[in-house]
Amino acid sequence: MKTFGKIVLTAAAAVVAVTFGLTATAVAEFPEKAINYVIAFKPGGESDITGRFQQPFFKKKFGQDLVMSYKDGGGGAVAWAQLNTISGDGYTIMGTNLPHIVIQPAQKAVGYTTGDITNVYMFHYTPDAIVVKDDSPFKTVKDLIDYAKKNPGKVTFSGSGKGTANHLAQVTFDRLAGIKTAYVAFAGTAPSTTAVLGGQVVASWGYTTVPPSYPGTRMLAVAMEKRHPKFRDVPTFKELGFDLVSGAYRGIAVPKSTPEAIRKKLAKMIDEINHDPAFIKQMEDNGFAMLNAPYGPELDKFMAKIKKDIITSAKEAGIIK
Amino acid sequence: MHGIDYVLEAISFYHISIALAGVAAGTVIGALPGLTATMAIAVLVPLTFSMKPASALILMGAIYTGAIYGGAYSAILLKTPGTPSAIATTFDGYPMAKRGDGDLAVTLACTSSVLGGLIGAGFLLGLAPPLAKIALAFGPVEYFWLAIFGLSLISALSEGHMVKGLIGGCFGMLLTTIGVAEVSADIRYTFGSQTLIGGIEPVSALIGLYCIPVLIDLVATPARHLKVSSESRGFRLREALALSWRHKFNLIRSSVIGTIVGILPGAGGSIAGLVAYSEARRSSRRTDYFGTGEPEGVMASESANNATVGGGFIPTLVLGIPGTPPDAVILGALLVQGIRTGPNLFVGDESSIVYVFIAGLFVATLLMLPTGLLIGRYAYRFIINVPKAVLVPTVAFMTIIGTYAIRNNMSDVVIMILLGAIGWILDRYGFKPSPIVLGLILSRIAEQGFVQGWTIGKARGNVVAEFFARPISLGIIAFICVSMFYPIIARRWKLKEEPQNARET
Amino acid sequence: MPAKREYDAPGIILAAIFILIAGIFLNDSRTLVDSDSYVFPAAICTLMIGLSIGFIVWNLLKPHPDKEATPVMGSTPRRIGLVALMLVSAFIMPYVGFLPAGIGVFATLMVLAMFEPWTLKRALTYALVCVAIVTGFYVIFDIVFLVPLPEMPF
Repeated sequence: MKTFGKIVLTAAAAVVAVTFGLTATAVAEFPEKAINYVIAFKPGGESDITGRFQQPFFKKKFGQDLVMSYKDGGGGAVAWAQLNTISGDGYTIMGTNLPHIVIQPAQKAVGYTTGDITNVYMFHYTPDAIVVKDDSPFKTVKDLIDYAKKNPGKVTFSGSGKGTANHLAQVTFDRLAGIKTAYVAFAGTAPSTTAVLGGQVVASWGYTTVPPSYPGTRMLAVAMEKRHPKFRDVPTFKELGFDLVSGAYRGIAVPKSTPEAIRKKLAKMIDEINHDPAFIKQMEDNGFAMLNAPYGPELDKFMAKIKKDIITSAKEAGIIK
Repeated sequence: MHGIDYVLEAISFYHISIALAGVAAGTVIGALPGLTATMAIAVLVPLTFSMKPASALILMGAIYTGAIYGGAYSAILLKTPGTPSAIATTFDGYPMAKRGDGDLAVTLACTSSVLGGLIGAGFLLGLAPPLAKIALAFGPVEYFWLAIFGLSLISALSEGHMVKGLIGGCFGMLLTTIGVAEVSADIRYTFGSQTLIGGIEPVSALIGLYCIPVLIDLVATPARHLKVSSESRGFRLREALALSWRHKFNLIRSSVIGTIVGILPGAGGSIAGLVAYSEARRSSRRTDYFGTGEPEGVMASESANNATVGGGFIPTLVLGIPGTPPDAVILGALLVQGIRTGPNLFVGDESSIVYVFIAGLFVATLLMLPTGLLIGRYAYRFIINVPKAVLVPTVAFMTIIGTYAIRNNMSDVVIMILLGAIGWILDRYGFKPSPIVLGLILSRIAEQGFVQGWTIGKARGNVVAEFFARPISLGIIAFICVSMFYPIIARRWKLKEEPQNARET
Repeated sequence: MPAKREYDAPGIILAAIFILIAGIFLNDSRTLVDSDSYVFPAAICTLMIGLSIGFIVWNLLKPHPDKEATPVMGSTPRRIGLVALMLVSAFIMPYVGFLPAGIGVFATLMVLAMFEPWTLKRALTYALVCVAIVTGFYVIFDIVFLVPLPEMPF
């Protein structure tokens, strides 16, 4: 047993040495090879597309490839549950989504808790918005509310999934406006928007990314603090008297074992991309809204607030107890 | 730029080279179960950033169309569809290969795929903006009925055990409900298992149910995997063309079905193949031979699934709604390039991109004929000549690594193998794999349509009317009834041949 | 063809197992709150139970021997060996890496599927083919298609 103990000690010492060696010399040169960027969904979704937007900027700024791979399953839960089993050398990063990583562990045992996810940056969000067809009779949010009040329960909203930003926005808005509408969950923004365009539903709880991608749609209002720079003529819910600021937030996380210095370095790199005017323009033209929450107190403050908001509205929606 | 200019640009040396490379790579990717066109295109996306948009589209389109065709090889030679689109190809392709006509089946798959691809691309070229409206006309209820149409094939595929087939179909559907609920995102039926949260991936389950039983029987006896004829018969292209000419209506009908199903964003290649197969079976004079190695079955499935490529691009380019999963990735790549999809893409300043791409898609589809025949010949030769001690481990590894690659998840591999072993036992006692696979593949579409239709119907105040009183739904219901009952009635009225000889040629 | 067997006994047993499975799923449905989550699976379970009961009753009333059941040919140990080996490879791969686990299991599968006597020349050729094919798979999937296959620990 003595020898065994010795081996363990030596191994531990070696690990410490390697780790320190890494922090001392390697951080400055990080990244020295391609970084694997794991998306917790299928290719072609918004999480994938925003990663794709980052890809060329990353290569240009840091000289290394950002290689996407996909670990779809359980609405992202399969990938996030495995995040901390990956080696924390900084060469594997994973996309994370809010409200998913807050709601999923609050609903059931999914193999991870919100605290298990070490985010290094929250880099953008897609604000919720009410989307209708171009030729819809509803010109303003008021039109829609009046109609919904006359026909309680008959107004159908499509949206992407349940327990998602769209769903929470629908529940919150129903409460704020004093109306009752039916929410029809679809498997993503594309089928949900198709349902509005095809007239299967009256309107859709979508995102600000919908009008740029799907010709023939327009928004009645957006759930942002200020108007979206790309849609100056679309009011915010706040202007209309509804306290609704919400959306789907996306960030990048690393395994828990990733050294502090690497976490900071990654946050700095993403921050640099996030401040590139060309990147900002590309994101905003496609309807995304920028967000800069780098690793450290800023991210902690952001996460604490957003977590509280999500839990509150999810409880109101009856999604979690 | 006009007409001929687009064609000239599409047949430039550069474009021909990338189309050829794309088709060849796509064919190999499609032939390996688990490796999909979606994945191959996703890997290529960074490469396309530095290409011109039209060239990038040609490369991705060529890979896509090649992959859909390549799925036929493993369907015919190993009874394992390389892509879900080729499910219906296994029904008659594998029996053909078993009796020694694998070479003919592979060649037929190639000619039918080329024709289907050309017809799909033709619709994309000529009628994209008006046809895109079809994508919007289908609501949740229509998708529900379309899935039921696919499931109605169970009655034909149960091989004399109708009730067992239906039970198998239910079993397949129940398997897909494990994990995160399709519509409500609830975690269900995991029985406390962490592994099951990810659910049972339909494609890996399909690989297990089809391929593992074949392997299990392959390893048990020294007998050859496929029957081999003594004389060398080349490509059997003349035979294939004669058959195609005789069944030209089947080919055209299947290609049109494929195009339309391809336009529907919620459907996809597997449904296209199944619906076309079902229709070919119904309208054929040889209904009873389907499932025993009828060339018409291979032709229907393969022409339909390749027609979905052109069809799928219609909503993708006109509406920004991806028609199929690979289209979603292609759309993402276009976004990064700053290309905005929409009806304006066909008339505005950027229209040259679309037209050069469509011309390139025609070129790639035509190139599929020589490359497909050549690769098909080698695939066939390899499968029939390779010693069993090499074939068994190679195919076993193909299933393992292919299943792993779908979601980079080793648990899927374990589930795949276990399901395969269960499938082998069930098969022995009359519960055939095809009904279970249909249940697995179609359950998600059926559930989404059912639950969404239910919610919308409730809000509108009449659930029954929602499901039974919409014109398109009624049309699909009518087709379901006709496919299920017409063969029985026709046989009674002696409109069909009585089964006597099992071979047509 | 076993003429004596009048009932499709395996079919009846399997139908009973399917009833059991559907029952377990139905029972678990009660833990779900949102009706969207259980309507469809519960409907399928009910259908499956109905069909299975129908099958059993019909078979007991009017015995239908399963005509299709063919006797199992060939070697059962080889069948079990194949499934076991494939499972083993899936379980050890994450720990020893794709290449070592792959080559080991591939070679064992070759031995399992071999029906001819081994000669030295044959053994050497097959060893070479084994390494070549497994490496080929590794190159296609890991290097070309960037599938993160399990790595060797060191």
